[in-house]
Amino acid sequence: MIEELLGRRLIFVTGKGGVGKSTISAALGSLAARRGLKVLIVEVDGKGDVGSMLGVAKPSFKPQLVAENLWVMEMDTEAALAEYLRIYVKVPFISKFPGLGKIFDFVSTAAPGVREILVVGKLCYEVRQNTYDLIVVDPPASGHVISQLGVAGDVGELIQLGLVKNQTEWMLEILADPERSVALLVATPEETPIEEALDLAGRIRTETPVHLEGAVVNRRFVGPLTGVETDVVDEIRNLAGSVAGLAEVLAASDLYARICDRHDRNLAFFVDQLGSSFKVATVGEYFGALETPKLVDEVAEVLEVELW
Amino acid sequence: MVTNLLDTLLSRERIFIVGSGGVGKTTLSAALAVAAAVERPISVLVVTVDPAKRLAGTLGVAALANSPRRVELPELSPKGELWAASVDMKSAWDDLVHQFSPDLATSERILASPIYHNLSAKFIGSYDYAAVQVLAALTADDRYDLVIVDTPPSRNALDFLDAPARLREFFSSPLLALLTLPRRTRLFSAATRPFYLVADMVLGSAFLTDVTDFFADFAKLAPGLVEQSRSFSELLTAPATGFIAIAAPYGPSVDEAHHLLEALRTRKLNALAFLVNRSLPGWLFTPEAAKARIWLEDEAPALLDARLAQNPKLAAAIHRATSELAFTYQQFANAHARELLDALRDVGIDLFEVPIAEFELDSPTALSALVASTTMVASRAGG
Repeated sequence: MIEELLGRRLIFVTGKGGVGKSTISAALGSLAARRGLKVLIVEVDGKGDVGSMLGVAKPSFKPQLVAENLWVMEMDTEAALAEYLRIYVKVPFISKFPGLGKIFDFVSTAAPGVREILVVGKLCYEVRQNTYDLIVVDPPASGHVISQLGVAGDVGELIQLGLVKNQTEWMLEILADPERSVALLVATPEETPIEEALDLAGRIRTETPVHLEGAVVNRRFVGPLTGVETDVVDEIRNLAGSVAGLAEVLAASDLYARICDRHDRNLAFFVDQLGSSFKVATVGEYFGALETPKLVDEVAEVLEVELW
Repeated sequence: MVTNLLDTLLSRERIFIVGSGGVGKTTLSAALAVAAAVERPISVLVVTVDPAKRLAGTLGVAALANSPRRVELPELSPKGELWAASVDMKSAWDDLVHQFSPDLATSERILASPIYHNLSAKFIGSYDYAAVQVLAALTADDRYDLVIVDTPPSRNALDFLDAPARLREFFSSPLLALLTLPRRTRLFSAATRPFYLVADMVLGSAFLTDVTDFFADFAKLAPGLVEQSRSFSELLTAPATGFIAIAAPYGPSVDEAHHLLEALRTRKLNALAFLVNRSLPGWLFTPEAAKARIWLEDEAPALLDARLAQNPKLAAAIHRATSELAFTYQQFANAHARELLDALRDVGIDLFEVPIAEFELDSPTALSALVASTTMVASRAGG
């Protein structure tokens, strides 16, 4: 049930670029907020999509209120580091040293896991702080999310001492608890995105401690005239000879139906591969016909019905 | 005409396929490579620089690796031959370490380091560098007449192409020099002392020592890596290299398309063509059809009711059928790529329309059919 999903503390919305992860994150967040939960949406890849969908062009590290019960923030590793040092390393003089952020930033581009652990650490910290009921994370595309979700374990192995070592333990506890943290997979019903989503699902299951809760298949074509009595369809087709332009409208509908069939077959394959107990929700294709605030509302309504 | 598209491809020795995530780069890279190998008596290599390795499935081969494998196309009676490869990050990095270490002891230390193991297998950024190095070798291989490269998905379509420059920046950074100072010096340097004090506390001195020792060794690879990345950068701008951009027709695509072309131009990369993927057939969108849509909503229900009057149970079906047909048609009309095509018509590159697939794109035959149904909308020469 949807209460169960929205009752988690941390939802990672994963998937490849271009499948509509940001739309799903924004819709999920606003759905939860509308149902009375205090929600924080965290944008990790810095693209600003979720923010602009919710009316904030450039979200900041400090969460901004965008609607009732709904906050948006953008992850910023340098700000996360500063916050971390302020909270845990009580050496104000040193943490204000001007070059420190720069050196850490440099180390984090190369040293394994430093950047990732700051990101995941901030998310888990917010879970522990209990300021929000639900945190929805819009992470960067596919491959990168694996290193983020798996980082607490990896860093735990790499680092044997120090503050971070102790912290990876409680972080892992949060991430590995399916009652608190889950991943949602977003895909589109085209062939290669389905293949990649299956690949990502396998990697989330084997390489990260986070429970994969289900998938949202986005941008699915939903067929016109399916289930309509043939008498009616035949009668409309008969009129194509006498109404100019109707033949084109019908041809468009037929093309649409063939693409729907293809999407249905891809979707069936996807469900089959993931196992029948795996939960899949679908959202239709909007063809860019709706502007973003409207689109987010609309998708939120669909999710409210579709989500298990 | 598909001939135009093949001519565009064959005007260069190397083609990079670029575009933002989800527009169909991998599928079209494979499709173009299959079409070129089928139609022309040449040797074609397609390389996917995509960690997800989806190309193998599409081409119907079991797996792909850094070294190219032959893809048989028995059903298509090809005039040429097709090869395919994919970047395997771990083995690419291992090869680089062997190749560029100054001595055996260094390479053994690097390969045994847990830091290296994690860096090469998992973390952000390292994939791009590995890919650059594998591509540098493959695209310079003159066994292939044409190399088509499927670039990785990223939020900025060209991030990957900037990887060589980022690698050089990394190795030339004064910060790297500071971090790899001998341990004694590092504690007494005013610049790094606060960093080490905090890092010790946070990360633990053992990890820090591991990191700095690793970088001290890793920095020894710099001359080789930097040299190779420099020649790759030169190769990207060489006259024999071309770029084909892919866009999908709906969403905020016009701005993105312009942005992509601009980004290619500022990097002095040869933009050859734009492919608008998943395009809907233009003949569906006539003024008559737009009127028929309105007719479906306004007049058709009453007319159909009269015609099928003998069966009142059909009233609801009539209402549903007419409104769904009208709605679907309107959605399709919104999705038509006309706006994007018009915007790209006069930008001075070849413009092609790849139709939306009605069949599964899961075999070389299907890919070849997709290229065959691609049409040219405008050419560089204009018109």
